[in-house]
Amino acid sequence: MIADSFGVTAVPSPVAGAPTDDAGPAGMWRSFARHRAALVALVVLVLAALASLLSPLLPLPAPDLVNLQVPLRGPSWGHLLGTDQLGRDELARILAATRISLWAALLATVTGVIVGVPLGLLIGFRSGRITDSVVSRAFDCLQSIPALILAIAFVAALGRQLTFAMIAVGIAFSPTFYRVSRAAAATVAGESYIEASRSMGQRTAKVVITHVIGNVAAPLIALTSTTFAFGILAEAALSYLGLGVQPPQASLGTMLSTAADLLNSSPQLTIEPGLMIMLLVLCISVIADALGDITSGQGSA
Amino acid sequence: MLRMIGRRIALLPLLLLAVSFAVFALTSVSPTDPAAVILGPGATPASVRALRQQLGLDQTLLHQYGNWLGQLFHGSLGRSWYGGVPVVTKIAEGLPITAALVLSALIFTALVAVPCGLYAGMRAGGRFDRLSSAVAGAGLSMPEFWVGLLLILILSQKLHVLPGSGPLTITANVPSDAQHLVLPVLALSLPQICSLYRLTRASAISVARQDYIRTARSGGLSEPTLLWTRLAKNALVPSVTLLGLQLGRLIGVAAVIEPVFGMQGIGSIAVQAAIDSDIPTVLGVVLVTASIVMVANLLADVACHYLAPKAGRS
Repeated sequence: MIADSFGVTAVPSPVAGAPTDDAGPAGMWRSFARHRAALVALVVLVLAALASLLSPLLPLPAPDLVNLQVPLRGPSWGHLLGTDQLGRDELARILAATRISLWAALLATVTGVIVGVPLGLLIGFRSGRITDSVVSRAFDCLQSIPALILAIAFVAALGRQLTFAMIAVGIAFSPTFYRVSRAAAATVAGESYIEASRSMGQRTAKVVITHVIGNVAAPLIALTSTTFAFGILAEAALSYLGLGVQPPQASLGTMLSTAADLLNSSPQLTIEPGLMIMLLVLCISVIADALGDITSGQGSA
Repeated sequence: MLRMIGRRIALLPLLLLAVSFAVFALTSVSPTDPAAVILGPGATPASVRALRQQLGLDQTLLHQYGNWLGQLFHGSLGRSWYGGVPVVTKIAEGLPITAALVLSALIFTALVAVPCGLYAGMRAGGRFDRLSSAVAGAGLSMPEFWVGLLLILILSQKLHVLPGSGPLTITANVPSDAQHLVLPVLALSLPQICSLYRLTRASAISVARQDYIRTARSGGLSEPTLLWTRLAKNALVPSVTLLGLQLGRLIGVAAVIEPVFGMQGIGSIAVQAAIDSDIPTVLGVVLVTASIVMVANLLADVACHYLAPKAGRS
């Protein structure tokens, strides 16, 4: 499972175990705020996201503005992170690229949720044996294709666009979403309060919405953040390979692919976008770990 | 156990059928025309039409798929749309390179991550645990190909210790191959080491809390004996499962690592084929990869069955 690389299989650590009496969003936030590192990561992530979203308003040169008078300059007051081989402002490009990264990761995550969660809830909640094994096997099969290979297949069939590549990454992640929501719904379905509301004549759909969603939200939030982190890494890799964002548009991947030719003479062009990727992914995984701690502290819910 | 293996092997062809059909279906709804991509921007409508006919793109989806399946029964994956080389030949050339890269990375990952994870889990909260857990957190946040670029920059271009990029000869020149493999294997394994380390550490912690470990410890078993005989066997079950799953991820990421290091494995082949809209080649790589991953997961499950007979049953 790819998701494991970011620690979805979170373990209640003996040091920072969250108390289990907190329930609901407010309680979850209180438990979250106790994880100092996660709180710092959240602040950094929000700042980075804001800077990238508002970068057109910042006093920076346009990210695609070529200025051949100042190629490959080091940091200065005019260009805080220097310029690339075409004299474009590195900071402006990194911020514009971060915007694309966040959007791409969001697209992959939403795709994974849409493909995996509704089916998982439905099958887990009212599992007929045959449909359950057919659908579960189908998702097992899907999981045997690595995310990047699936993205390569999608791009080959549909054309070189970031949208297609990221939808493929989301589909590659959907088996994990399916399994987590199916397991959670199956657990909830066995609880007596569900039988009670069923015997009171509530329709299944309403039972699902009122009880199941509330209970599966916690594990899904941790998985969502993990997928989001992988989405950022996948966007960089696919755009680096020329299968996602196409130059001259700035993306953390395309910036790294043009910088690779100047690796020896201008290593800063390779180091800076990579550090941005690392910063984003690190913040998200720290947050995901904290969420995993909290949700595993809440028991099976 | 045998029934489980039989059922899983029977599923493999079904999966391959489904995957190949899905790729064909995607191609048929695609807004881009592979023939136009192959001929480039200078193509005339007439030449595009002729190439479409030659590639069979003018036929219905089911017809195309039927033709492709017919070839498959004769052991052929078709010919590349770009250059006309049989896909089987291309994959046979690339697979040894990818196998050398991915298997070295897998072995390296297991050798580093498992002992570190067990040791850190045994002494959770200790100095080694805190240091290695912090390193693992950072290592998981770095894209593999960026690590590869940094390794080339530092070890190859600045310090001249190891060769950066270069093709593998596979068996023709073993010492040179081994040198060329060091950096890509390091780059490819770093995140995998980190995730396997974390999982092994976590399961070591949970096994260490079990009663039988506490009993053994209070009974006076020395720590190393305890670690290797009682704890490792039980804590390793999730790690072996993850290693099986990591093989798939390694093959996927190899598609990014191979181009960075100029290696012509199946990953590089697939990436170039995707750029060229060379559907038969991409399909061949997808099918080969999916088969390898399914077999690897099956092997991992069998291994788990022998490590902990109870856990393996499902």
